[in-house]
Amino acid sequence: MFELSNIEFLYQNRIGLNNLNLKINDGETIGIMGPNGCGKSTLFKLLTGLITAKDGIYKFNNQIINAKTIKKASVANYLHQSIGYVFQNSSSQLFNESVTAELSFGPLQMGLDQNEINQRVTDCLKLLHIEHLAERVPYQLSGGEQKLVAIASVLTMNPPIIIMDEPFNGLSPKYQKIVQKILIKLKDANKTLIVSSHNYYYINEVIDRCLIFNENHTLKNDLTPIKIERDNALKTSLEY
Amino acid sequence: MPNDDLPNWLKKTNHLELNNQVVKNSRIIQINLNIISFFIKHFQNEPLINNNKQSAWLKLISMLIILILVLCSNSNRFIWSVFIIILLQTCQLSVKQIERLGHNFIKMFLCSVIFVIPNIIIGNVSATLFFIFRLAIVILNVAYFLQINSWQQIIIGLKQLHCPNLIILVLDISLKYIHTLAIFLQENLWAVRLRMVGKPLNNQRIIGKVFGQLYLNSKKYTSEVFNAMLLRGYKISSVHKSSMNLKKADYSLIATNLIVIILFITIGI
Ligand SMILES: Nc1ncnc2c1ncn2[C@@H]1O[C@H](COP(=O)(O)OP(=O)(O)OP(=O)(O)O)[C@@H](O)[C@H]1O
Ligand SMILES: [Mg+2]
Repeated sequence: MFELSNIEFLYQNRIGLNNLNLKINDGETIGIMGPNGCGKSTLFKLLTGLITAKDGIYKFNNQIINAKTIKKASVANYLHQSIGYVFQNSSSQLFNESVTAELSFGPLQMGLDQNEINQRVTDCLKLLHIEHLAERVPYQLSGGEQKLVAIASVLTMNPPIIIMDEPFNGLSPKYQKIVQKILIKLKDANKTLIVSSHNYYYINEVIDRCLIFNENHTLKNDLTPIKIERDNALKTSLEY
Repeated sequence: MPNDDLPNWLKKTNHLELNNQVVKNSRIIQINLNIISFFIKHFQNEPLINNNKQSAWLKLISMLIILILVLCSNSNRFIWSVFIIILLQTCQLSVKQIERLGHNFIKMFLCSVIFVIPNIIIGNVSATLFFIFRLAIVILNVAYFLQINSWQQIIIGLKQLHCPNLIILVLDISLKYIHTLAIFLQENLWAVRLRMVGKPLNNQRIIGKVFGQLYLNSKKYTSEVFNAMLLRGYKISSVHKSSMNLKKADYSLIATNLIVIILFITIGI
């Protein structure tokens, strides 16, 4: 599904990602961990085609994604419709005048009919326990509420691949558990999930593999949760 | 709870096929994104700057001296000498910096020359050419100054010159704030683009939404940045690094300035 080889990404002169080689298969659930500034968000932006690497090759289902191919509307649409992406900073992800409009924006663009859209919106509000926010204005919501709306607005599009950048950030324990449960169910529904988190115990039940980056923006470890559980030194080192 | 199960439509996982049909993409979003990322890159030009040897305030003054003298002078010879002095200064930069300086200079120069060109047609060619030459020197001077200074250093320079705190505060907030806002706008447009799949519907309305959003958030951001800066004792921090000490490297700059002033007095007026 995702295939990255020798990817190198620079922000002007600063390194974002360093010589990354990575393969993610269909239906896998991946956790991404690492200290602040190690390049997790950069990796997500790269996978979704928002930024492109100068060096290295990125293939999505054998389609090469680079600065040139992403300009083609057919490739961009294919990539964007396949991947749902929840930003780390949710306030910049919301741009509609109400939460309901926010959730229906994606399905509307996809050309679904109105009944289906309404169904999806109600289901997702219910799923995330945010029915009480339906008529609110997104920019006035609290940080955690915005995160939940952002997650819901991606789910209404039902993409086969879902990328979440620190979805648990700023959520109260109640909502953390709700989101955790949803992730497990999405995994059971055979979605490909890529989730970053600073707390291993938020994602350990969901993930098949955990990718651990270090300060040098390098992918250092690629381990299964079973291996992590066995390795006490590693487990403590994951508590940043 | 029964309603905690995924709805049926969400349980279905459909993999899409790449469909090579020509789809009309939303050009407006892409164009706006390009402008914004260009803008953000420009505001982050500090990594290339390694010239911290000279004092910020002196560089600022030196730039202003050259600027004023060039604008006051009517002598070809003087402007030529200034040109050579700036070129000599430029030689101290790295290749990459010179490349960028040239790039910036050409862009700024072309933009401003467009407004002057009509004068040539109307008449008075020699005066206009002289004007263009002078303009080029002024722009070169400014481009050089921007190349060796980050915005942060300019702010420090202003502080060292004891500019009123309020002016500095306003400038500093505006710079930080424009940058934050640009990044916000970029992410916002990304969000739109990610969900603009299938057949794009009324672009104008979406752009309207994005800019409405930007306006609402900008209000929130200004007060947040302002409060954050005040809370961290912004006014007090101007004591930090505000002394006008001369560094070793400053003397060469002072010498250059003296030369320019002497040239102006002898041949420039
Ligand atoms: N727009 C940008 N311009 C310049 N440098 C950037 C930009 N965005 C990120 N960086 C740098 O790239 C590196 C990787 O950033 P990234 O946002 O991917 O980190 P992260 O792993 O998501 O961190 P966090 O856990 O804090 O979210 C960091 O060193 C950061 O300073
Ligand atoms: Mg991040």
